[in-house]
Amino acid sequence: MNKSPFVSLVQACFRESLRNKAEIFFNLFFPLLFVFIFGSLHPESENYHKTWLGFYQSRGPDIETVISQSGAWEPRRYDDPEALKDAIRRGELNLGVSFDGQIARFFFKEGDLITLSKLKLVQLSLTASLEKHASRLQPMFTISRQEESAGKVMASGRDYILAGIIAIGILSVGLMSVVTMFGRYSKSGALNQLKIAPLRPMSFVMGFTFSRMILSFISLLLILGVSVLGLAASFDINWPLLFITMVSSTLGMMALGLLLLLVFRNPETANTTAGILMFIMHFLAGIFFPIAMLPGYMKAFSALLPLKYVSILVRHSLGIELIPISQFLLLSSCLALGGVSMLWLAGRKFLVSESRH
Amino acid sequence: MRFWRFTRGFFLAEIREFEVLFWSIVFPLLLYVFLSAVLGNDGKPRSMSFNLAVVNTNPASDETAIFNQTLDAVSGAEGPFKVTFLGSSEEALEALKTGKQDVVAVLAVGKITRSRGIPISLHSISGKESSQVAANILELVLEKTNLEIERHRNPAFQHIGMAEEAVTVSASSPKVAYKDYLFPAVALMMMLSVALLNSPLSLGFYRSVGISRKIFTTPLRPLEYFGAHLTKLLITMLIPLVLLYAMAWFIYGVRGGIFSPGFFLSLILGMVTLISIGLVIASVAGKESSVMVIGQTLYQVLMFMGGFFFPVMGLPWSLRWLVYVVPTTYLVELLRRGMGIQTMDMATIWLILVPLAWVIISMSVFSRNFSKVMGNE
Repeated sequence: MNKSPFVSLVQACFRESLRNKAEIFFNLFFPLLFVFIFGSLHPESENYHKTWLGFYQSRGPDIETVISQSGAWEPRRYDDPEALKDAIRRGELNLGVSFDGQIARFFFKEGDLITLSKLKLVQLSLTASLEKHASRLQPMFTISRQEESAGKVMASGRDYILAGIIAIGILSVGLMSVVTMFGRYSKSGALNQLKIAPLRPMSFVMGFTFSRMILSFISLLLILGVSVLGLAASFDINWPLLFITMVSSTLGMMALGLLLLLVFRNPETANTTAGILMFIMHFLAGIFFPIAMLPGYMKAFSALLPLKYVSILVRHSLGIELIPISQFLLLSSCLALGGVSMLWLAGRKFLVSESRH
Repeated sequence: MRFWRFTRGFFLAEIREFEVLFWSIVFPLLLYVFLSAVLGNDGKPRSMSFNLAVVNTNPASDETAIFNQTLDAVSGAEGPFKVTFLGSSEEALEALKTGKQDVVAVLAVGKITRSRGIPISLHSISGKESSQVAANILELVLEKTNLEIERHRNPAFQHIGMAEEAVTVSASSPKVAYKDYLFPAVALMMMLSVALLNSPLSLGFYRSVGISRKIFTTPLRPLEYFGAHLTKLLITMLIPLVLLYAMAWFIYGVRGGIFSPGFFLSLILGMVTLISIGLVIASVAGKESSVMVIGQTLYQVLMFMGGFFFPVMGLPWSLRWLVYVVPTTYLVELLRRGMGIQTMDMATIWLILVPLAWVIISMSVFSRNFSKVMGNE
């Protein structure tokens, strides 16, 4: 039985991707490397132990109880301040506190800027707790903390990061595959051969796009599988919305890749620029660093990055952070329309020979 | 003379590639600027800004005046919060859930009692870092306000003083800033990019398209070809290093021993170690695509597991063994020690011996495959 040209084209494009080790690695397995690294590094990881806070106490209210009640630290007692300092020198501890009932003296290793960045907050909260504990305070404000869910699940910090990595996976498939494949075809002259083939430009573009969608879907399933089964991510997945997110976001990211190919004539320049954009988006789209902590000019810049909006759609689809459905539709339509228009334009630009005009 | 002409040609062919120029030179410098901007404030929240929604159904009451004064002290130009007063908890929580607000404070003014004070509920989004940080800061501010009030009205209030002491591992350890801490990591990143990607890619390319075979029909010997390749790599590493030094010295004011002989020797050890690992990649990977896959994976593992940007000693042992295996853990620590910064409790000799072991093992693997890698089989 004869297959339709479209199915043959999709199969050919997909097989070509599967044979390309680099493409498979960067689209499917590279995001998994991020899942393992950042999933394990996150303090909510099951394997990640609570940070030790060493202490020595000569007098005053019981500091061990105060440290335990903070919830953030695991107290470890030392016999004298020198033993505490030695433990810091040896790298057993990052932070220690010696308390004589009057002064809480905090020890940290010189050059340990990670601990230093948290030191002020730890000092203030621990001394405040000690003063409260010692003074039997009648507070003016009695503070209680309430954790709210912005979606359908009580998400953890790691869930946010994993959702961000899924967005990066979609970015990677959409952006990089279009740049590498069109770039490769253009360099090898295959695009010129396609121009004279009895194939409508849109058929090729559709076949190519469909094969990328399959790849994007496999990447999505792999990351989701590892996140849920391996790292116990608490997602409440809305599959239809996730499917819409995947299709629209892949199209949107392909649009970005095609834009680069149209702007830069040299495919290698387009490839490098895509890599630069990926790097900028990783850091400024609010996935690994909260946007609130970025300097003002970087905050403004982050609003222009499509990855930020893809991660909003992914978080909505995974039930982590819901947005109004109108906003979901608007964002996904913008990404999809951008993708379709750019694919049409790219089909005209790359696949229609001069004589056909 | 022939050797230098060949090296020059090799180098020019390499540096004319936009990819090489960007990833080896521009990218690490950009990363240095970016990370210094984001993390280089040593914990001072000068660039943070959070949206705080306050629900206070009786704002005119005397009891809430202190709360408002506290807010004035931490909002606008005085602090990180941008305060919005909203009419109901429902409205505020909706704004929190849709991301318009980072934290919500609800004052239960009707429930004020002399013994309990004003109950304040701080609402934040579970798992969302910006919301959690905002709530932590606000909670701390309110706790401190409680204590200040108590200090004024209770003469017997027991004040706890705070002090901090940096534990130096060596007597000469100076004060360091994040830009100092980052400098060795960025220097090694530059080397990683050249050694793990550029070097095996160019060897693989010359081999696969047959250029090396053609070269060996000339009087040039394989060792000369290899020497030219190494010299080219060293020059490609030195150019970005000089730029990094200039940026660190003139823009960020990094000092701390980066011009000391010990630091330069550590940089040389880093170059030799990473280049030898790159040669192993060229030995085991047949195609350019394999080089990309192996090179990129190693690049990420050596960078993140080497503790370039964040501490890795808190990792579980299922991953921490990797920290001890990769040479970058030792190289970055050795370079940091050259600047007077010590982050690991390990004798300096190990920081030299482990990378040297990598060099010996890698060069043994490479020398067995020398003819294959050079394309001179």
